[in-house]
This record gives sequence, C-alpha cells and structure tokens, in this order.
Amino acid sequence: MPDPITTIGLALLAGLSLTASVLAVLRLRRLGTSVGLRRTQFSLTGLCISGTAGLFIYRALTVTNRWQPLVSHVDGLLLMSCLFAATVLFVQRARLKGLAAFALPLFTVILTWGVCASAWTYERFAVRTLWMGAHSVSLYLGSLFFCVAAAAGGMYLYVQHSLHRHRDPAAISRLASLEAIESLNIRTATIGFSLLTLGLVTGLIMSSTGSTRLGPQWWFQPKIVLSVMVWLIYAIVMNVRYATAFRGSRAAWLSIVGLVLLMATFVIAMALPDAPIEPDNMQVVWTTIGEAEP
Amino acid sequence: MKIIMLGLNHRTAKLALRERLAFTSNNVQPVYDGVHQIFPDVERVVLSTCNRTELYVAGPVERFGQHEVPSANGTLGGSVSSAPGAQPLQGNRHGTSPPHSAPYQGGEWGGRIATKLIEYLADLCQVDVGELAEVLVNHEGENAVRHLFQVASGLDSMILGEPQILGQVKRAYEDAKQRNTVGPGLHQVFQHAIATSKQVRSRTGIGKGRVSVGSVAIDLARKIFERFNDKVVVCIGAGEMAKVMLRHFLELHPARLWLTNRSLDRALALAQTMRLVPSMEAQVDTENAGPPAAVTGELGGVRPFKQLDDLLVEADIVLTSTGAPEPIITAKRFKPLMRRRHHRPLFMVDIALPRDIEEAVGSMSNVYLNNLDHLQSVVARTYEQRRDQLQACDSMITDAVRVCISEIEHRDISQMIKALRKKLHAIGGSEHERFVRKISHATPDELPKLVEEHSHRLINKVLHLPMKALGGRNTNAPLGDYASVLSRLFELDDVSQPNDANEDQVESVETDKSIKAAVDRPAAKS
Repeated sequence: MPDPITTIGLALLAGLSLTASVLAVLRLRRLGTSVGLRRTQFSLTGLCISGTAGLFIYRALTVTNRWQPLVSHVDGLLLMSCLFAATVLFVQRARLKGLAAFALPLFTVILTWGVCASAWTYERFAVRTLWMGAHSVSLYLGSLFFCVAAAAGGMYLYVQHSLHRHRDPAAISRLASLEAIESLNIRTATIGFSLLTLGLVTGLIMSSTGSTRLGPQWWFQPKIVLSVMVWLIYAIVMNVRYATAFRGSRAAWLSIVGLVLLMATFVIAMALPDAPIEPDNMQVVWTTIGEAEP
Repeated sequence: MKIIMLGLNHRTAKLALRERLAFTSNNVQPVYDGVHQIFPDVERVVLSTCNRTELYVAGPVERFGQHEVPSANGTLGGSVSSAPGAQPLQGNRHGTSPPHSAPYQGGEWGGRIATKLIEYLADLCQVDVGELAEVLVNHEGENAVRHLFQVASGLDSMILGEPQILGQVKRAYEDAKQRNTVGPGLHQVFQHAIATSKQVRSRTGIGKGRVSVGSVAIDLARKIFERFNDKVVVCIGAGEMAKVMLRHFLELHPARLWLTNRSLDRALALAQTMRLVPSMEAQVDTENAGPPAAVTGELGGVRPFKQLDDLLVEADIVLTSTGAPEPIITAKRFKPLMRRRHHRPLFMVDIALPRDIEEAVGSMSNVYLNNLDHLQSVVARTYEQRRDQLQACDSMITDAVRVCISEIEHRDISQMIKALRKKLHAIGGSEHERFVRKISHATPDELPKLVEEHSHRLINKVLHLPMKALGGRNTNAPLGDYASVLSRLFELDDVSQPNDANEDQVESVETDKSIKAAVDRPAAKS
C-alpha cells in the first residue's frame, strides 16, 4: 500500500530541492552572489539530505520492518537520492566547486520520481531473495555514482562551452577545472561500473535460474539489453584516458546518455512485465503482493 | 589638529623625477628628521612607492607657527587644475587627472608650510625647487584624509583597484610607527584608511578581475588544468611579449618549459634570462653539420625549431609570439598531431600579430585557443567593471572621511575642553588662595564685600581672554565670528553685527578698561 507520509514527505523535499536548484543556478549565472543566497542553498540541501535519510529510516522501521529495507522502488530512490546529495556536498567542499548547480536539478528529478513511485506506481519487489537484495542495493548505489558522473558531465560541458565561447574566466571562476571534472567523472564511473557489474551479475543469476527465471532467451529481455548497453557506456567512460577518441566532451556526453539509459532501464524494469519470448513454457516473474506464485 | 599631504605621483611627475624622490626604509630617515627640524613635534608619515611619494604631516595648529587657520589651501605655483573638494573620480586608467590628484592653487597659510617642506625636499634630493613645486600636490584637512583613503583603496593607482598599494600604505604606517613619528592624529587617519580600503574592496568590485593579458591567460589555464607540476609548457618565440608570458607561466611551476625559435641564439638568450639553462657556455653549436642538439636545464631548455611537431605533441600549454607573417601552426599540420597526443587537452595562447596559429586549430576537440583579442577583451571588461564601481567607492569613502574627521574633531575638542578646565581651575585656584588670605584677616562686617570682590575678580579673570579676542587686538579674524560663537556658547540673546564693529570695539575697550580697573583695585588695596 502506498504510504501517505512517504508521498507527502517526498513531495515537500522535491519542492525544497527545486528551490535549492534554482538558487544554485542563479549563483552559477552570477545573478546572485550574496553570502545569504549561498547559505540558503546549502541549508535547503542539508534539509533535503536529512529529510530523505529520515524518510528512509522511517520506512525501514515502520513500513518495511525488515532487515533489508529495500523492498520497493521508493526505498531505492530514497537511499539513492540521500547518498547522492551527500556525496555531491562532500565532493564540492573537497575540490569540485560548483557541482551543486548541476547535481541539484538531478536530485529534484529523483525526488519527483520518488513521489510518482510512492503515489501512483507503488509496488513492492516481487522477489525477496538474497540475490535480489544484493542486486537492488548494488544497482541503486551504482546509480548514485552514475548520477554524480552525469552531473560532472554536465559541468564539464558547461565549462568547456564557456571556454570555447571565450567568456570572461571570472564568470566560471567558481567552477572546477576540466581536468578535475574529468577525473571525477572517471572515478565515479569506475565505482558505478563496479557496482553495476555486481548488479548485472546478480541480476543475470536471478534471470537465468530458479523461480525467477525469465526463460531461455532471457538475454533478449528489454531490461537486460538496456542494462548491458549502460554497462558498455560506462566501461568506455571509465577508460576514456585510454580510449582517447572519447576523451573530453564525448566522455561527458556518454555519462549523461548512460544515466538516461539507466533511468529508462529502471522504468522498464518497474513498469513493464517481462514478456517471455516463448510464452508457452515460461513463468511470469511479475507478481504483486497477494497473488499466488506459479 | 591640522593634516597636510604633500607629494607627487605618476600623473604629475615623470619617472625621472619620481625616482629621485623615491625613498626606501633605509634612506627615508632624513625626511623625517628634516620635517621635525622645520616643525618640531609634528606627526609625519612618508609613503613612497614606484608611482608616488607622499608626505603626511599632522599636528596642532600652533606647531606649524600659526594660531588662526583659514579654510583655504596653500599656494604652490605651477599649473592649475580644478578646485579641490569631494568630487567623484572620473576614471583614471589612461593617465587623466582626477581633480583631487593634480596640483592646484589655494590660500596663503598652507602655501607657507608646503614651501618650507618643498625647499627641504629639493635640497635633500638635489632637485630644482621650481621644478619640484611644479609637480607637487598639496592637500589639507579633509582633502588630505580623502586623498589617503582613495590612495589606499587603489582609486588613485595607475591600475585602478590594484591591491598592492594597501600593503604599501600599511608598511609606510608601520615604519613610521617604529620611528615614533606617528601620534594619535595620523594613527587615527591611517587606521581608518586601511579599514576603509578593506571595506571598499570587499563590498565593491573595484579589485575584482584581471588587468593584464598574462594573468588572464593564467586564469584560463587554471580552468583547464588542475595541476601544473606534471604539465609541459612550450613557448614559440623569444621576444618581449614571450618573456612576459613566460614569467607568468613559470609561476605555475610546470614540469618542463621548452623554448623554441627560428633563431636559436635568441631563444637561448631568453632561456638564460629566465634561468632555464645553466650558463652562457652551454651554447648550441649551429655551425656544425647535422641538427643542433637541445640545450636543457633542470626546468626545461631550448630546442630547435625543427622539433616543433614533437614539441606540439608533448605540450599541454603552447605560447606563441613570433613575428612570422604567416601562421606557423595550421589545422593541416596539427590534425595528425592530435592523434599522437591521444587527444589530450591543449591550451594555446597566441599573442602574435599576425597570428601564429590558424583559427581552425581552435575549433578542434580538446583544443582551447586564445588570441590577443580574446585576452584583451577580458582586460577591457575588467576595467569597465571597475570604473562602474567608482561611484559606489567614492560614496563609501565620503562617509568614512566624515566619520574620521568627526572623530578627530571630537578628540580635538575634548582635549581643548580639558585644557580649558585646567586653565579655569588654575585661575580659580589662585583667586581662592588670595581670598583665603584676605578673609583670614577680615572682620565679619567685611566678609560680604570681600565675597563680592572675589566673585568680580573671578568673572573678570575668566572673561579677560575672550574679551581681549573680541576687542580684536591680537587676531585678524572677523569680529562677527567671535561674537556669534560667544553668543552661542553663553546663550546670549543679542549677536554683534559687523557694521556695529566700531561701537562694539569702543565698548569692548571700555569693558577691558573696567576689567583692568576691577582687577587692579583689589591688588592696590592689598
């Protein structure tokens, strides 16, 4: 059952995040340079991080009440968004100033997605096995690093565009250098790739064996195909210093495209039932709570 | 307290004269001593930079040999510009003369003081007095304070908003403090100047942005690369502009810095100037057959122009400033090199005219090309933005000057009140002694008369000095001013009119006589 507290909480947090995003963009465009604006933005971001963490813990203790709290897409999005915003704040303070202007809008999108997932498409994961637990945790954690990589990709393109247009360097003085952004992109893509690999392997194990089996041509399921495409894209991004043809803006675009494909994978995995290629001897994996398993 | 500024700067005097009046902490003591000899016990601070030498002197009026100080400023002779006063700056990047910083004429008093100082400075620095008087600027009072505030904030600098001047003002002030030539007056003024300068810089954009092509190039390089200790810089060309750019990029401490030029000797000479190669003996042998070897030092060195392609492959940053009539780096030449570079980002700065690098090279992926136009437009924008801040800066300085002057005046007044109290207590004390002596021998019947006499004497003694001033015997000031001050101070109903001066003078003389008579009468009795 959808939990109204989760839905309302996510909606409020999405609103706060949207405000923080607007402030971050204003500061980026140097339309607002006051210290008060900066403090407001950081306060709102901090509030959103606390809010998402609080909601996740609330759900873990009251709604799901299990040792493994990721039982629905909403839980995954909450975990992902909280860690994503915290990671961005940490990275920004350390070396990469200005990342918030590119990450906060993404954060808002994730929270809004969470509102939809909570209010209209709420569904618990049908499969509750150890493999599923490992699969979902690694996928969501991997996704958060891909989100950071995509934000870094956006920032790279913005700085590069400003340099090519010969804008006043003072206008981008708050932003990190291209080398630093590329380095972040590679590192986050590497971590995300490792986690995605783990998620893929566990997913493949689930797809091809036991009661979760998708059929003999499980490898042609849309979510499998898209997942492998995402895997390939980030394999290139994390090796861009060697796959030099993709260096620079191409790697940045790949990070962004990879995230879009990843989100599409999630949507397809959550929204569409897996259609076996040969229907007569396949089990339908998607069940809802209360339906008898075949 | 009176404050005087006397000095010259880059607008009023040429470099040859400025350098003769430039002082360091090692040779400035004679200036301090000289001012002390001319005006004993006045406060003094000497500010001497490459673009200005200014002497700030402050002290009570009487230490300058005057008792009355009109508001007009001193005469210097020489060229005349606009009148002094709190006028906003018009922008001074290209050497135009804002009103506050040009020589001007004024009244008599300040001119006498300035003349003494000019004569001393001319003698000390072996400069013609007339020549010096032509270029010196003189400010007094509020104008002197305003000038210092503007100087400290960088509004009077050759490069508008430059930050170094604040450090120079601080050092001059600290140096003077160590020489014990700073008193409460200049202490207050300089502290206010430093604080105001910091506020002006933090609240306006007067110091923001870059004002040289080299520093803009560095900023752009920092937007591309995070670290430079693993980067290779290649400089093509060996002229003055190349030298300027090299100086900037050496500050980034790159891993290697290579110079190349068609004329290897010139490149070698530049490399030795920049200390990239160890000694003059390490010459490239250009007379032998075969390609000349590279000359290397710890940081880099010189390589033959034939190796340009290899250098472009190795380089992360390329600076070009040759006199070549045609581009030396074309898109056709560079495209295959990009593959050899593994598409590593490349930052190129082309400050040659005509350009050394074809524009198409800048359109390639991961190549960031900036030419002279791009860099100069950033500098021009910076100056424009700084000029836009002048009004805001001037407004802040006006407020700060007002506060500073008010504090000085309050301090002066409080000291004056202390002195007045002391004087009146002294009068009261001596009359008290006399009265005590008198009543010790008096009978009870004589007491009322003695008390009345004592009161009269006290009043007459207290009024003696202002009456004397009102009589106009020892002052050239207008009588009406004193009369109106007295009327205000003592809350009198009637104020003396200037056309009644004769009548008032007669009355004051009579009053003086009666005062004298009253004072003398008890003395005669005793």
